[in-house]
Amino acid sequence: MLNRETFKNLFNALYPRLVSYSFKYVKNKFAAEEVVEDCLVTLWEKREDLAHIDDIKPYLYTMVRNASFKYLEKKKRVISLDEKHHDSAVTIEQDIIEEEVHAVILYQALETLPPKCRKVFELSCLKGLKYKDIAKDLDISLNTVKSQRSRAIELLKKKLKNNPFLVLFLSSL
Amino acid sequence: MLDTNQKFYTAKLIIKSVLGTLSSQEDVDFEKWLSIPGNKEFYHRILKEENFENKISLFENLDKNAAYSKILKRIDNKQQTIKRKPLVAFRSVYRYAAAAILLISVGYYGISHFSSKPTEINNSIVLDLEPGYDKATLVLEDGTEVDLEKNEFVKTQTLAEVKNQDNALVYLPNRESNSAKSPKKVGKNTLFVPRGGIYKLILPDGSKVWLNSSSSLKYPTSFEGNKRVVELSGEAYFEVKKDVGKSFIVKTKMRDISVLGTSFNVSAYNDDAFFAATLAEGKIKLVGDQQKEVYLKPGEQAVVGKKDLGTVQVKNVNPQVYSAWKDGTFFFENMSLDNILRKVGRWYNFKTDFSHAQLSEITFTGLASKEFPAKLLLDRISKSANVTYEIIQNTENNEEYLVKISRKDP
Repeated sequence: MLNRETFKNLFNALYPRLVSYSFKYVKNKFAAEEVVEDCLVTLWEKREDLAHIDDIKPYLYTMVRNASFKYLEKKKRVISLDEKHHDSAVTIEQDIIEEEVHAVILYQALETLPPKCRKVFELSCLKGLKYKDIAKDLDISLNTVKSQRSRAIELLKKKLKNNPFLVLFLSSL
Repeated sequence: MLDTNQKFYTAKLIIKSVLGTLSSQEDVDFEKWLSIPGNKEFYHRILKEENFENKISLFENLDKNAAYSKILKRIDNKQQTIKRKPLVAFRSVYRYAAAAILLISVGYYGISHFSSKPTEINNSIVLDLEPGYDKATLVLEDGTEVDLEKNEFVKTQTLAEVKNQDNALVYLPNRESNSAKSPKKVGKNTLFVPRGGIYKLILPDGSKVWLNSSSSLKYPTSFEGNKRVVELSGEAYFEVKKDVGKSFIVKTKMRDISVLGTSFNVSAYNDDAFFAATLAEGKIKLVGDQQKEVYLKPGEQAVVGKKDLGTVQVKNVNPQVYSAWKDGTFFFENMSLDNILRKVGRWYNFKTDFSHAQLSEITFTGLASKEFPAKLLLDRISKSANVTYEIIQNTENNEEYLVKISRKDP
């Protein structure tokens, strides 16, 4: 069952991606923050009932999604068609995958890398530039590019490993 | 390996593919996933640079510490019933202002904790306004209103099928209509684009229409007879499918435009002092109730002022300037500040007020991206002319904003 500490860890790991997920629907940052805040408070209040759930993350995503729709309905931005039927299962799955990928790569990991490392990682892994061009762009040697890239990946792996909520599905990184 | 939840396993594969750390089994799974139609596009979409950048700015503007202490407070005060007003004006402005200051003064990276908050902020002053985005409401023949912003749907109506996908509304001609002998009554749909919105529409004949902010277009769900008639209020860019036997007519309050097949922009806002039609390609004809018909050639613009409805001024312009709005750019050519801000205000959802009437007549030439918040453009205007501005939120209706332009103090 959730205790204060696990709840805090869960908050730290999942808050940004849940806000971002809600933002997709409510299109307003403050509203998204409130939706997620409500969900997390509810989660805490219901922690005894939820004790049997092993992985709280999929549950939270669903909760945030439903709460976002409720918010929209209240705001009367959804007028007649029930969104739940029109948002296909594929889109929902894709939205969640997108949040996961972005949150892990950007938030959990990138923000903790040293600046130079991050730059090299971004250029090489995310933008797909060649080592040669990165070296030229950043005015560093080819070997530095290579070493910074592997350092970034090492650091990311370590970072991801130390996060209990990512370990669930990233344990073999 | 626990993959009861396929989506999380897929997310893991994508992350590992970015890091280059896929195991051989995972590599097989990843390739298999990629080979499913649509997944490759999805993969590239989520790894697109601007997607990341948007996400970074959202993440970095989150005040995690503040959010967490708020949650703790609510948890600890459980016995006390928690009543919250969603997005109270003061609170939202306050937080908005905090976020905006952050963006301006610190920039993108390296802001993981900011707990200090500005202490004195007038609750009516706003620092910036977000740009608009694709949104619209569709009114069906039976009067049902549909918000298109988040609804991907397909709906069949009399003689037509309509689909909302990728920020565009598409009408597919219903095959039954040709075989049906008894002519059915054709229903009319109306597409409303609010302030701060833009939308694309493909009519049943294949003609494309881009509808600008604060505009609406009324059209039949199927074009029967020998005319294709649509009614416009506001601004739209048309790419009309050629059909010699069926002229295409755009009705507006001040003039009608009759065409066969061509591309042109029409601006017919009720709150503008003029009507303007700008032709990019082909040939169009302006038709008034009493007035003589006026033909336009490509590159020509016809302007009718509200004060003198009978006179049409025709001049040569660069048509791209007048359709740039549909491709994400504001383009101004010797345009008065008054007209510029009215145009821009429809996108950022603000109205304008001038402290001195002369200020409204200053003219500007230039272009600006519609994707940035309003401040960027307003700052540039303020820098290049002797004016300052203030964005004020209406405290009674917090969805209304006013941009006040005044003289810069010497």
